[in-house]
Amino acid sequence: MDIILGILIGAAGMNFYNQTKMAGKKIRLYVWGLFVFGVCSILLGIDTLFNSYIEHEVQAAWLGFGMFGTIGIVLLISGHRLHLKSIDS
Amino acid sequence: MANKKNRCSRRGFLKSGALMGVSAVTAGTASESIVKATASTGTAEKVKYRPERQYRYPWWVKTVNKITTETNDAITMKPLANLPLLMIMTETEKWLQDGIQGSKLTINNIKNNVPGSSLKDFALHYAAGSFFRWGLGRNGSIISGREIFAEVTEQNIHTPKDLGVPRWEGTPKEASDMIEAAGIQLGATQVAFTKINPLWLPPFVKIDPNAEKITPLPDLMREISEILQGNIYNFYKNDIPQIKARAQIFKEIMLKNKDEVLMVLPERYKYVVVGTSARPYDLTVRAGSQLGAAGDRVGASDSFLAMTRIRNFIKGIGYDTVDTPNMNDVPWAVAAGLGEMGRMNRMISPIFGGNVVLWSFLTDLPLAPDKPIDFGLQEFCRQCKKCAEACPTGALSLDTDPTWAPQGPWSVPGKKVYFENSNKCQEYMNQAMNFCAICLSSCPWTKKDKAALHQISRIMGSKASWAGELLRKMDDAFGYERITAKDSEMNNWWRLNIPTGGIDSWQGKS
Repeated sequence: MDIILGILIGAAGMNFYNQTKMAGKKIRLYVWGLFVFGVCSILLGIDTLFNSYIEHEVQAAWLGFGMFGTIGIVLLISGHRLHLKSIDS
Repeated sequence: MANKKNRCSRRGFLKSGALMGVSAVTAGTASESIVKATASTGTAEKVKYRPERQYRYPWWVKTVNKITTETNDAITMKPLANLPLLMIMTETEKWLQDGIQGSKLTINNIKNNVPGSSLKDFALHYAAGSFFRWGLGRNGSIISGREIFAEVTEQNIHTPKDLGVPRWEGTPKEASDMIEAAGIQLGATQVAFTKINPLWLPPFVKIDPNAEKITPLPDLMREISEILQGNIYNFYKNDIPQIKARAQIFKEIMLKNKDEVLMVLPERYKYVVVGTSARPYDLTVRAGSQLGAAGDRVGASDSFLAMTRIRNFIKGIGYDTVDTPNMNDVPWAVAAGLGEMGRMNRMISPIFGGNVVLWSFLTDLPLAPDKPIDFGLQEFCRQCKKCAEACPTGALSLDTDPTWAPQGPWSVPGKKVYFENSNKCQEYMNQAMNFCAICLSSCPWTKKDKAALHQISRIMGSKASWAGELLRKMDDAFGYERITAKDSEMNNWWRLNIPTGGIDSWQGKS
């Protein structure tokens, strides 16, 4: 599963980077930061879900997935919007 | 001694005074041993610690020169005996009634198929504690599984002398590394080392610099253990006259002239091997039930097996060991860096939390001791208080800061800790007939380590221990609570996918 997640994240990241470069734009540092933290938060949510189930802790599994996943999505969406704003200006 | 409402009656005060008096005399003897020991070695020995090992702990656990608990040897004093024995001596009738209540409760739970305390759960508990059971041996004498295992297996160990070869020789560091490697292979979860402090030995153990050989205890402890174990059987059989008779014999034994009950050790037994044996988390999270008791007994049995095997290994390389009965393992474990003192007045490990059983013994094999550790537990415990709130009897302190003031004659003064009311604790265990350990399983540090979240929490608990209260609330929110008979998950244990022995032996090592 780690390999699959790694490939997906890598592919999405490369695609985003290439598209931005082809448009002749730059990705700001704070946008990178938001994307990195967002991805890490989603990964932590997925890790909590699967490994808490292995530990027989069902409540922790779903709460962790929901909490970290939501934070991650918010960070990614914010990063994307800020990125769009920065390339428009 | 304080009664149920925590007031000290005159009778209780006089009893406590008598016990304290005996303890003071005994402690005086221990102090004398320290003076003699120091005098015989001339100048104080410089301690050469084992260098810190890379894989021992993660980066957020610091090695320090002094244990994080404040101590004062000048005011320390040993109790006459541990609490269960004290209760039998001084509150015999109450101990008896608690035991009757506990046995009735256990049998009722079995009849009513209470989740976690049904027949199969009870059978698991007692099967898990197989090595601690006493029964009749082939020649009709009373023996225990522990005793057989230790005494018989020791006879089969070939010493270098038997083989006509020199005994193992090496530096103390090499010895410590070797014993640790052997110990882990032989079933210990962790192995560490420290040097002896005579004040931490049981009151009936004396170090004599002039002694050449060990003077063992007479069959005293054997008789006491026989009485205690036999009493548990008789509680379930409701054989009250037999229990009373045994309690009387026990009291007579314990109040013998103290010179008759001394174990004398030569000075060369100054190295302490101390270790942990993990308890299975999926059982101990069900603490307060027979399943929880099974978890406790698994840890205790594993600790005894590991310790006995390691002692046999040391014999096999040509050195001697001694296990003193009723030795309190906690101070050795804290001094050797296996953990810090927690709010429940027990050791908390940075890897396993409270989910470990400690064991220790003395040896004459020169060993390099380990340094104690600091992972921020003292500040964390000030904020958290989860164990104290989880305790069903209110035996644990809810004070923010630890204290020097002992709670009763069961307390060992001379350290600044959160002294507990052991009377209430033991009373509950007698009335419930399980080994409780609710405090140890409730601790936020008592976790497995599959989820990365636990590592993050441990790092935060160590480095941001001032946020202990917040971390404790998150611990509650994520549902890390004890499983009780009311929870549907209690009986799920029988369907879980668990590793052998219920323990992930890679925890803390990957």
